[in-house]
Amino acid sequence: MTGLLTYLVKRLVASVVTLLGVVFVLVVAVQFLPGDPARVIAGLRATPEQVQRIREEMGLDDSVFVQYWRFLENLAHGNLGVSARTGDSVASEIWARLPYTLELAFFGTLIGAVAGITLGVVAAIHKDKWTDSIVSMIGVMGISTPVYWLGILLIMLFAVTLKVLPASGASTPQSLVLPSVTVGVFSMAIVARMTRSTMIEELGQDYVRTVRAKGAAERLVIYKHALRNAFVPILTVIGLQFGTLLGGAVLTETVFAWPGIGRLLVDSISARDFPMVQGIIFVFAAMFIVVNVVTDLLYTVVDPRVRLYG
Amino acid sequence: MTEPVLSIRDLSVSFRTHTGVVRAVDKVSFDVYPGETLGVVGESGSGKSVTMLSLLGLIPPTARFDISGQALFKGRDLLQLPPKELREIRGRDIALVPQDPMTCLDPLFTVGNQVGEAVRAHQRMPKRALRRRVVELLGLVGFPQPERQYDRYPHQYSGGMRQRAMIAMGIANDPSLIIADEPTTALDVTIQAQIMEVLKAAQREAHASLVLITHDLGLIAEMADRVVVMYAGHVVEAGRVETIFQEPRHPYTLGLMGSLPQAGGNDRWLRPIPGTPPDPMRPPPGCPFHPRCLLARGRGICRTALPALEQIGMADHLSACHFRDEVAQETPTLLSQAAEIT
Amino acid sequence: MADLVVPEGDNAVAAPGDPSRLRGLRTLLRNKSAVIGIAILLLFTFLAVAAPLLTPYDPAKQALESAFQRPSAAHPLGTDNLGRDILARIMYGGRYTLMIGILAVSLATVVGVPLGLVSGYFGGWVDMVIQRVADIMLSFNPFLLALLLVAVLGVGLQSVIIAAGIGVVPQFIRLARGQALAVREEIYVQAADSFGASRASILWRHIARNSLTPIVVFATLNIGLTILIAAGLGFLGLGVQPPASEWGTMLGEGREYIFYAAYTSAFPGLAIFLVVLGFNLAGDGLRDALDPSLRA
Repeated sequence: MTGLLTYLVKRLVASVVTLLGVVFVLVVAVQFLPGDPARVIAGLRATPEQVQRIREEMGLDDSVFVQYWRFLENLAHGNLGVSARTGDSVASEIWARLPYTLELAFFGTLIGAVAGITLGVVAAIHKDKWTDSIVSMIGVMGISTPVYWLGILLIMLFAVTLKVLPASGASTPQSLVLPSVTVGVFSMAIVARMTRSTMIEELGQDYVRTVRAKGAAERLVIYKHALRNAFVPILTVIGLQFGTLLGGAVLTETVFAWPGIGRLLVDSISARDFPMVQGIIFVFAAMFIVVNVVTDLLYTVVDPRVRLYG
Repeated sequence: MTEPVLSIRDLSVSFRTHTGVVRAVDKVSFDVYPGETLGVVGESGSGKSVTMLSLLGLIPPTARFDISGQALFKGRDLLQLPPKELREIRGRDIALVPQDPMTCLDPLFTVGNQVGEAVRAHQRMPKRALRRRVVELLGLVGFPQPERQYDRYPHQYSGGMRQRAMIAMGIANDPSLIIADEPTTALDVTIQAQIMEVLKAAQREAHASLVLITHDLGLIAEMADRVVVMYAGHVVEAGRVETIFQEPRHPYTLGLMGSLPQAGGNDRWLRPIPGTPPDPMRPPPGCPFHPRCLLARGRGICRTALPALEQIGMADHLSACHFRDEVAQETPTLLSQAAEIT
Repeated sequence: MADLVVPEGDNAVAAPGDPSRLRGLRTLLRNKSAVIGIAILLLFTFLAVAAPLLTPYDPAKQALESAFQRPSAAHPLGTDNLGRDILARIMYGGRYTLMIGILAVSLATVVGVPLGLVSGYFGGWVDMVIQRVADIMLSFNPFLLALLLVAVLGVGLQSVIIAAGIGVVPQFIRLARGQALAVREEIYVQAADSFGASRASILWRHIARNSLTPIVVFATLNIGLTILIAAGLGFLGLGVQPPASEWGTMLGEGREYIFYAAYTSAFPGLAIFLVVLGFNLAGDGLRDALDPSLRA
């Protein structure tokens, strides 16, 4: 058990270090922004003195390291700054919208994982036959499809033509369907490819031959043994896909007018609301890192070797 | 003469690959009798494993291969059976103890679970009875404190212990035939003897015939009643173990005997057979052994005609060599010639 | 399973790093999907380059009186909200797409590969620093990274190329590092070391030459990704700016009208899809032809 604990601690420390690095990058990035954040907050008709005062208030003239430290300090208090556009707390704005994005990311990952694993297993079982080629095609097409185009196509089909699902907003449970599917397609394609190749590899292993030699049903061979062994790399991929999904979420939220932080990010960039941009990117990075650690933890459930030896 | 448990006739297996057709097994025929131990000897690539795997339908389904011939097990042709029936025979009537114990167990499940799976594949049993049976089997193969071993994982075991677990799986359903594919190759010399003891005990326990596939002649000498010698996918000689060892009637077999280290003898140096096994995609015409054969002496028939496996001398001794009668007289000459070359 | 010779009826027998380019080419051409991919790319390249000859329409010229015309003989893909012929815009827009894809990936290669090679070969704290930086960049995804860069650099074609390129740099670093680590162990590199060859020349000659194939394959497969990123930025209005007919920008502009003039978005999107598909199919085919061992 101690092996597991040390492993966990090591991962957490690495994550924190990375996160600190991300923050550093963000703070530095703000230095290089075209335009003056203080001016944006002050408004177009502000006098230079007013702008200068805001600069001092925001501490924009301080050195990078001071700003870095201040950001971390604020962060510890749950304070991510104040939006240049609305004047509201960045943290509260993000907090209000975060659940929507999480919802989208979660269901997207779920759809991607389930569909991807199913396709991958089917392709591996029927290797080199028609089914396999079809799944391969779906895979390649899946990673070539722009999320925003797919979203628009789905809207055209389901909302405009068939009128079965809503085109935008987050008002009803059904409105979750199209956005989740859109954001999950890319993930599905990658997971399917990975599942297929891992399953093929596992099915060629000696222990699979042993199970067959025992006279066990093929069903057991595939699901109880091969798939379970394949799960570790597949899980890695699903975890990695979460990061890609977050990027896709930004675009999907725009297409579907989904009230998550992705859309907020886009609006903030257009409006030059740098504190907000900073805050949202930080939250994205944090989410991604958390998912990575959780994925690592899940390995221990699946693979007893990791459990005992870390 | 009792009926054979397994009767293989003209079994051929070839694989279709991008670069050509590989004739792994070429018209192989032999019998296995009840209760006996049959050794199948040959170098790597001689087709001995493929022969047995093809009987059980265990060649990976993704490989493209063709099988022809007949394999009668208790009157039924294994090669013609529908998959479902073949699956019933696997693990119940015919058991396989595969080659490499390190990779043959699923790392994610306990040993007890996996041995239990062998039982459950063919018998319905309530959980408690199943556990008891598994513990019993583990005890049979020599695990100390078998109760505790049930919940351990393969990676917690040494190679020898894993091999015992594989044997336990093999005898779980009292098979009539056990096929052991290189059971000791991957193990330490010190463990090998132990494992062979376990295998012998298992064979006795199940009242089974044992087919022992190996390239270790010492093992054959100790364990086998009869021997089949394979080369390049063909059977070149077959007979009782004493006969084969004392009076080999095929140049290849002779070469194998000559390459045995003689304890305390003059022959300190191993005499490997000169040359290498043929490329399975481009087998030589005529006798497969002729390029390396010292008996051929350039005679044409060796190059053109495939020798048939025919009886020689006493009953039950078969050899596939055009000059099988000469082998006995030529033995000393051939051995010293081999000594000169190497 | 040393004894068992069970050859898979599968991959063609191609030695890694096989110098016979001709054999590689033939294998490539036998691969049906790769051929389709290459055909698509050739088609779009042709359309982009020969656009002025193929269409009488000016992609930028507005003609409000013929706005929102459905696809017809005169306008095979219809007209957009400002009366511009969509087919013409797509053809000219292809220039942006191809240019961005190739330049962005070239940027990523030129920046990422040397960093990765250095990181892998020299190890030590150089490796650690570069790895940390790459990790930080990877904790976003390429699109978010590009988005952040665009926020800093501003919008426009140049920013898009840089943003999309930097977005995929961490992957190139990781790839090159892996290559360097693997090749570093090769005996002949160590032997050359003992002959006193300068470290830089060892690096370039031995490692770079042997890693060339995976890097080329990887680069080709990433062109699709950079195109998707660039078009995504365009869609959000943060990429190539209107009135330029970059496909992503067209998609974004057409978004308002999907309820009654869906073709203004659908066709540019289809173009993006096809070109990315083309690069992916060609890239896969290239990989299988040059070195099947790279698969998955």
